[in-house]
Amino acid sequence: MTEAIDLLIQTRFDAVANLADDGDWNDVLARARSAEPVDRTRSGPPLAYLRRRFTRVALIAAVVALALVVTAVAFGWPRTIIDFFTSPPAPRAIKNAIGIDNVGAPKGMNPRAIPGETRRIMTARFDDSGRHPDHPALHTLYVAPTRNGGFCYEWTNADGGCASAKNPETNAGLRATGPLGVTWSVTNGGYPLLVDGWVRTGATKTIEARFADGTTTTLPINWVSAPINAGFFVYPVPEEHQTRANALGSVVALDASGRVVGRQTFPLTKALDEDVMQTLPDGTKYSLPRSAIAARARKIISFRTTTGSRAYVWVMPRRGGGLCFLSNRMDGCPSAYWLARSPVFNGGVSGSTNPPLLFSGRAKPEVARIELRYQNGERERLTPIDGFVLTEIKPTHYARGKRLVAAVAFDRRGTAIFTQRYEPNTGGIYPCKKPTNRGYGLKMCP
Amino acid sequence: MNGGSLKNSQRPSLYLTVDDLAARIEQLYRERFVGFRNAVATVSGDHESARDAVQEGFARAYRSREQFRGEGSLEGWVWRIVFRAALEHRNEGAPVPLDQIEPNLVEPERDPALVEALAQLPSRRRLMVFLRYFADLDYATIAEACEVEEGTVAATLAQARAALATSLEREGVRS
Repeated sequence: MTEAIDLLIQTRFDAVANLADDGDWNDVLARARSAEPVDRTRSGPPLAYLRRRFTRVALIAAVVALALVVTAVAFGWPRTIIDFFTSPPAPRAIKNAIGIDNVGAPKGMNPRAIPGETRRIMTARFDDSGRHPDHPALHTLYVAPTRNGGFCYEWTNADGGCASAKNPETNAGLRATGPLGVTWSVTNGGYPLLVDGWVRTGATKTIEARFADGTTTTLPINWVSAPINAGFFVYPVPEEHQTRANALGSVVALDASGRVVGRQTFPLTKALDEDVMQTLPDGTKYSLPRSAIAARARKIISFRTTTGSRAYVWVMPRRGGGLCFLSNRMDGCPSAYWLARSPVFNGGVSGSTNPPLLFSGRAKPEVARIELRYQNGERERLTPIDGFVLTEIKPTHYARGKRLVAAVAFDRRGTAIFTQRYEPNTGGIYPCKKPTNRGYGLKMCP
Repeated sequence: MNGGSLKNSQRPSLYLTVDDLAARIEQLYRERFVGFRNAVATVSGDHESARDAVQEGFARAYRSREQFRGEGSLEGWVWRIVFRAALEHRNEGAPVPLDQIEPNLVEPERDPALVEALAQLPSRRRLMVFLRYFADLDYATIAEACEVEEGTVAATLAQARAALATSLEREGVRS
């Protein structure tokens, strides 16, 4: 009875309703942009400058973004542009993570991100069907502009990075990828597991994942307005595409006519190079390439460091020729081809804010001796064992002015045949008692 | 590498939703604009000002979407913003208590009997009727929008429905 009355009333209301749909979402967006969002997390004079600066930029950007939206409607591309300036500010932890991109960058590689302007752009949610069990379902995208016109981004539970304002096509190293920037993680078998990245606005219409079995799938692009001017994507490769026969082979950017304008390929690991769990002669288990003959492994170096931990190097033959090695600072399985083409000596220090600091390296057979040279003039001689050296950098060499500056390789006649130099003042390598605060919550030894 | 694309049903799962409030607000707008405008028109007095209020309300909701905590429905939250925009529009920014709002059909000549039936209802009950039958809001959302308990909405709408049924039945007898 109630339903009948409800239907009767609804019919009367439907009859008098104005059915004209004169809605205009672009008008809503334009009104929304007419006032700048308030970021309550910021204060203080330095940021006040930024806010003023961005108020001006925002006005320009709003016009540009509106024009883009209108263009999108007119041409059907891109489907949706997320307005950067009306996106909510990122939480402090994310702003810090972006800030660390600046202060933690190696010398000359500071992306000059503006952490305080980091915005939460969107969240991608993936359903359970086909998703790799190791993958979380949610990935939130945060993006910050940089002072040089580029951007830094971060997908939670995934990866991130920075891009300069330079057009990649002018950079020889990036020419092959065109407008694409892609990062990815791989499974033990070397198959792409989680792919994320960006594409600059321009000719690109779609991003496509191409699999080894010839199938393809289109990846959603989240276009972000000025000052970012790029689209972002994240793609957890489904579990069913983790085999040699149907693994992800490439991600391509396509223009409106379907022409490939950018490509990132994912070379498949050769079957022999796939990691599998193997057991060394002393019973310890390691994930090693299938080509490593673990049963014939030899421990050629082993000693206890000043902290009591053990340092070691194992070597073992490689199926098909070459050599596999494993230590607590390096590992590899180069074929005979690559062994022949490796440098005379390749070594370096690997450390953290905590000791011990180890120096390890691999030398060609003609090297009889390695000499470590320090800033204070001290020298230390090492004799390669089966081509390997591993030693602890003593705490007396942690301080500036006393650090390692070079490793010199000598042949049997005592002739210096190769020198590898090291930058002694790079932060974050040598342990220290009191790490200094580099900003954004990052503490690092100088 | 040049094989054909998978059919949609075979595709590896991609975004189920772009869980961005902006997208949800846009979706709400695209699906419910007409209903919202018609419901607002009963308060603002005409469809043109109602349209303006809906546009302004959605713009405010879009702009301040980070303030939506997800404690109620997005629909109810947006409606409150739209409704506030409508009242500001009508009263040039002056606050109006909910009880003093007199919602009415915009074009009474189109169904005088319905107008007469609605006129028998107290204003708040009438507003709930408009939210139910124009904006198609569910009880919970109407409760949020009118800042009352859901049970109150159910009881009020039941009474309103009965009263309307009686009035419209009388109208049916007369005709």
